Amino acid sequence: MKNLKRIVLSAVVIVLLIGVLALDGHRRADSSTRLVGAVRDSSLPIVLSLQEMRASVLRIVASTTEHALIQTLSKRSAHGDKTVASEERERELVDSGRKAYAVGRSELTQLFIAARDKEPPATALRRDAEMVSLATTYSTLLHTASPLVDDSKNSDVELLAYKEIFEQSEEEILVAIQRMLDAETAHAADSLAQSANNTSILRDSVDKAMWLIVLSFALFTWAVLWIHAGEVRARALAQKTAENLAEQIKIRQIAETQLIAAQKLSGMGTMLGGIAHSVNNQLVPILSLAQLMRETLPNDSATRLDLDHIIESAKNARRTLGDVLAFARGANAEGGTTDSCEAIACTRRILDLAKSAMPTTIQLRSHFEIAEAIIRLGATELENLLLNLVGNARDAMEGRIGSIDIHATIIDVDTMPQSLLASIPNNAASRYLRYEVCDSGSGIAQADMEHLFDPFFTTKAVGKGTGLGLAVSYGIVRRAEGAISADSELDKGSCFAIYLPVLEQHL
Amino acid sequence: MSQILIVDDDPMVRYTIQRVLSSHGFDCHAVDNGREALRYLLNNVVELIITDIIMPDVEGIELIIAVKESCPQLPVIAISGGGRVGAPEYLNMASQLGASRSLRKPFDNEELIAAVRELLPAKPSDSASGDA
Repeated sequence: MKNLKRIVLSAVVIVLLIGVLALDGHRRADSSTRLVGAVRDSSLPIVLSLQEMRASVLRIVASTTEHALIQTLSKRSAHGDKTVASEERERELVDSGRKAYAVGRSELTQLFIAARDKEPPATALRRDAEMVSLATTYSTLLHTASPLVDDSKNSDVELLAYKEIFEQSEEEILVAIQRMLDAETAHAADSLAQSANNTSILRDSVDKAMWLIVLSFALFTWAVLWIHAGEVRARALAQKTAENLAEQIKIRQIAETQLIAAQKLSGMGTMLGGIAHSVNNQLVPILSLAQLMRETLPNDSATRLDLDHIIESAKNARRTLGDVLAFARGANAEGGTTDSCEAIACTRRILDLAKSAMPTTIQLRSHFEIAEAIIRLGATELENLLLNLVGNARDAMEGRIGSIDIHATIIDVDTMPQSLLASIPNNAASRYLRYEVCDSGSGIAQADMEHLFDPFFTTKAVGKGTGLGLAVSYGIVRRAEGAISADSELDKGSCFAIYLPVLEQHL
Repeated sequence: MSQILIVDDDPMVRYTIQRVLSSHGFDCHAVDNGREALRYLLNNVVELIITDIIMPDVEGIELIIAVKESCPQLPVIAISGGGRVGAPEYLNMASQLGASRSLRKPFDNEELIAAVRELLPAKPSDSASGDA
């Protein structure tokens, strides 16, 4: 939408610019046209006047001489034989013609004089022009009638006409002619100069217009490219923003999922804690009174054997409830634990213990990238935590040959997954000890992933697991103000990551 | 004259502890809350208190504080079935406040008797009654 506005605005500006240039060129062209028109208009009356006068003269001459001439010529052709009588007759006719010619010429002269005096020319130029024009017309008329005059006199006819009409000497006439020619030449030169000037102005205007059109086109091209570049940048920015937003939404969704999971587990913890408290109280008479009764019975008593079962069962129940409470306390951890331990030294001992319980088909390998780290967790809890995970890994690899790898390293809080960090209520630590326990076992189905840390959730066969192992691990990690996550692929294996805050003041 | 005062709101627990201790020759008196215990202490000589932590009215923690203020030498064994989830561990708190021992319910009789014997001044009659 914004780009559309830019394009429209640029187009309007360019159209206005071209319009102004076109109007300027048109105005200059109009000016030139007007100049040419003015020159033409000023010379028009002269031309019209001369043409009108010439037409009048022609009409008069035609009417006065035509008749006499035709008569004379017709008589000459009728007496074509060269007899004495006919020669005599011819001379008469010639004389008659000459007389008629003289009369006609005189009349003609008068006519031209009248025409000359009829309206005095406004300017010297016009007078000269009219004079030359009249004289030329007059001499032409005289030439027309000249067949009746002696050839020897023909050459004088023109000058004679000038003299007769204008009563001026030959020199004056020639000077007038020359003056007129000069004036005409000067006028023509002026007109040409003016035309050249106008043409030059016009060409300049056209040149300027062309340059401005080229400039406009360049501007338009630049504007289009600029808009296109802006559009590309805007699109890239929009895409980046969208990606960031998607990333933020993803992190938020993961954090929300984990928060919901934590709330769910917290609710479970509260409920299970209450149950465990009640059942523990109810177990007191069962265990204690059974033990008391047992003391009073002889060793071979069948009842004593029954009581052993009751006592054993009560102790199992106590153990289960202990796990439930460990989970419940962790799931609702507020103050966290105040215990601490040297993690790597502890872990070495724990893994030595675990190795002894590992089948020969499974190799337990440890990779410590740090020398030592003090963590906010008691040695017993760390043992529970790691043995739970190693035990699960071992169970996942039942019937397979492979390895369990345990990595331990320190990471900065900045490099910790955001979603996990968001799940820790008081994430004040700047560094975390990260354990990774990875196996190449059967893996976990996607549908089971969200229930991994639920108490009593297990995929193991009946009697093989209580479903409290990971719930307890979760509780321990939470109490230590850490985080736990799982990643798994069916038939490929699983990887559990534990993040425990490092106590800096101990280092 | 009772030597051991048992304080627990659960009658079955009270009965069981009384039964176990009596069978081992200890004199016991049981009450069901902290207020009753304090009242009993005003009029009787008690050498050991075994108290639950979470009870209606006056709780075990309050009882321990009161006892340690008035009779600092009187030993106390704190017992708990788990406590309220979300709160700090009461047994740890009890120990910090002066409880001599703490036991998680359900405890083995051996644990209970061992703790009692450790805290009570040795009496010739104990072994006699315990063996009886």
